[in-house]
Amino acid sequence: MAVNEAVATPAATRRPRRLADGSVAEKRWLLWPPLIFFLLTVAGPVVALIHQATSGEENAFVEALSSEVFVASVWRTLLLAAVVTAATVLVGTAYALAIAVGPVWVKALLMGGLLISLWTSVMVRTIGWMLLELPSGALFWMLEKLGLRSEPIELYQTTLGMYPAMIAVMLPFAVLPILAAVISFDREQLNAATVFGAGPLLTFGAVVLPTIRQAMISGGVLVFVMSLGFYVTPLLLGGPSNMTMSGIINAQLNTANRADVGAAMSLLLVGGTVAIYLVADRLFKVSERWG
Amino acid sequence: MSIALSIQDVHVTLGHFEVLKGVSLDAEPGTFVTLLGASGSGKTTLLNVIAGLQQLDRGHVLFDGQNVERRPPRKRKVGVVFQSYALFPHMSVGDNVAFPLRAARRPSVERRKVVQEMLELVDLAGMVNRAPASLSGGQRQRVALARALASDPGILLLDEPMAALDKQLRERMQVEIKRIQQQVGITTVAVTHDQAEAMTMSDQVAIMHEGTLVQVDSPENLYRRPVNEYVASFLGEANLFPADRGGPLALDAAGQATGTAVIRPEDLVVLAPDQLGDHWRVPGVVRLLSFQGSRFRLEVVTATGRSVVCSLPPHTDASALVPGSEVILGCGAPDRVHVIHRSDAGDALEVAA
Repeated sequence: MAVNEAVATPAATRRPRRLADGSVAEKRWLLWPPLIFFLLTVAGPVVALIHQATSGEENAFVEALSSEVFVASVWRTLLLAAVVTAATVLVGTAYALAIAVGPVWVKALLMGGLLISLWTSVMVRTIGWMLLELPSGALFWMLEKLGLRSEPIELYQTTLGMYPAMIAVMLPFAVLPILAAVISFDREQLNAATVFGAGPLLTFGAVVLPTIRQAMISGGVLVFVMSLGFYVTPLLLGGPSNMTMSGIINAQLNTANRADVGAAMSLLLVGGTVAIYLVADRLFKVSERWG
Repeated sequence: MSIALSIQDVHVTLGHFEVLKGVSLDAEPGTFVTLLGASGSGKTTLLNVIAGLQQLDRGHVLFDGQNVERRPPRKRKVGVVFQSYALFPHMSVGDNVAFPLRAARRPSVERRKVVQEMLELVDLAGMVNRAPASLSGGQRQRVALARALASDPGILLLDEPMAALDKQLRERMQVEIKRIQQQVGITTVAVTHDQAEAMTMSDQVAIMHEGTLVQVDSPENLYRRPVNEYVASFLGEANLFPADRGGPLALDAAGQATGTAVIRPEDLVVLAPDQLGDHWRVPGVVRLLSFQGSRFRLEVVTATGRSVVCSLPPHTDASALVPGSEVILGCGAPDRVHVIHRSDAGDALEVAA
């Protein structure tokens, strides 16, 4: 409104202002449903967590941070999230480019794979990976058939075991934003690059990559933030000795019966995730792309 | 460097549709040739064939006598201004212009020098560091032109260069492009469906129709001496009358016609009763008279239902020309009447094909 008033010429201010005021007042109530939803689903639980975390006799935050198991899980989670992010963005870019330029059957196959994997429950996919990774599971069976390996594989319930499954589960979230950017890419620019003498490397590096870089970063931030709090896949494939933060938090609540420490850890996870997102947003302007 | 372009019997099929049905065209070094035709006539395809972006089924493309149809686009040294300009949005104006030199791995000193020269040529000096998104449509087109000329190509290709500009800017840029083309002296092939644009810029206009070249000639010859009825009515307004060797015939004598007379609207006059004599004439009824500033446009319908358009000088006394009134039109300049003889048209088509 202030901008409108400043811009409008004096003669024109009177009547439009009343109209504009009316329309603003009319629409303001539309903000309430999302605000109420936000209070109920986000602010409420956070307040409850703060209450829970401060209910114990000692300072639950100090206790959480001085727990070696928790600190180790923080590093494990950060490393997992970082590696999964790098891998999904790289694979996802290749995947999206293949959908955009590949022959029709490649397009259909890749698009189908992407959607089916999105529509299938994370639980089902994680169990699928379990069956693959079990010491004498599908992977071992295949390698044995090929005569490449005779003793069982030690992959299941190791730190390494979480990675392929996490990458597979997170891939669609990296592919979709990158695909959107690749599809809206102006093909005439490729012709321009070719006509002006650029080879495939220069064309990709100087023309294609800068156009889809923003989308790669948004996809990466999305995957990173989601990976930080991911529960089922790391827990089932990493096992009890390689828990990520969410697994430790669950153990505090359900096994150790220390709800206050669990709540403090949850708040640290949420706070850390928000902080990382804000820094990423400041650096890469992610929200501009989403907004 | 400016090359002679020769296109020989080029055939292109896209899917099941034969887009180019044997096109041949020659352009001397330094000439400006425009491919003019309705959409779907194959003109953009022909441009892509020259650039190497479109494979051809049959025929030859020669640059200075050398076959280039198997040469990839990046080795052809062509400069192209694309219809959407296809500027690289994340690069500055200077980097866009320098791109062809960067692809050719030229040293950065040379790049900077060329960018400076090119931007001065297109009147955009001082815009080196601007982003393409911050420029107006006309400025973007100039940047595209500067980029197309940066690596000193042998031939410049313009794909509907004015399509994205508004009408006023279009007329300015036509003159501007022509100036730059003459200053650089580069062989240029442009594609357009706008006949005024083709007439303004070109030395030679090639009329395309359904995958063939119908006539290649100077703008004036195309207007004065079209080879067939299609060219006559495509380029400007034309009144077509039955004719024989001697000139246009009366409308009721159409049976004896051996050809078609093309009479331009500005060559028709309204005859007063005392001027009739035994000249050729067309009686009719006024349908519409409109004042268009520099001319009056008079539409007359003959007894056989044929519509005749007549362009009258602005000082004409138009009071008698109300719709519904009867008029008699005659030819004010019999020497400017062009007759397309049936055999001529046939020959011309064969030559073009």
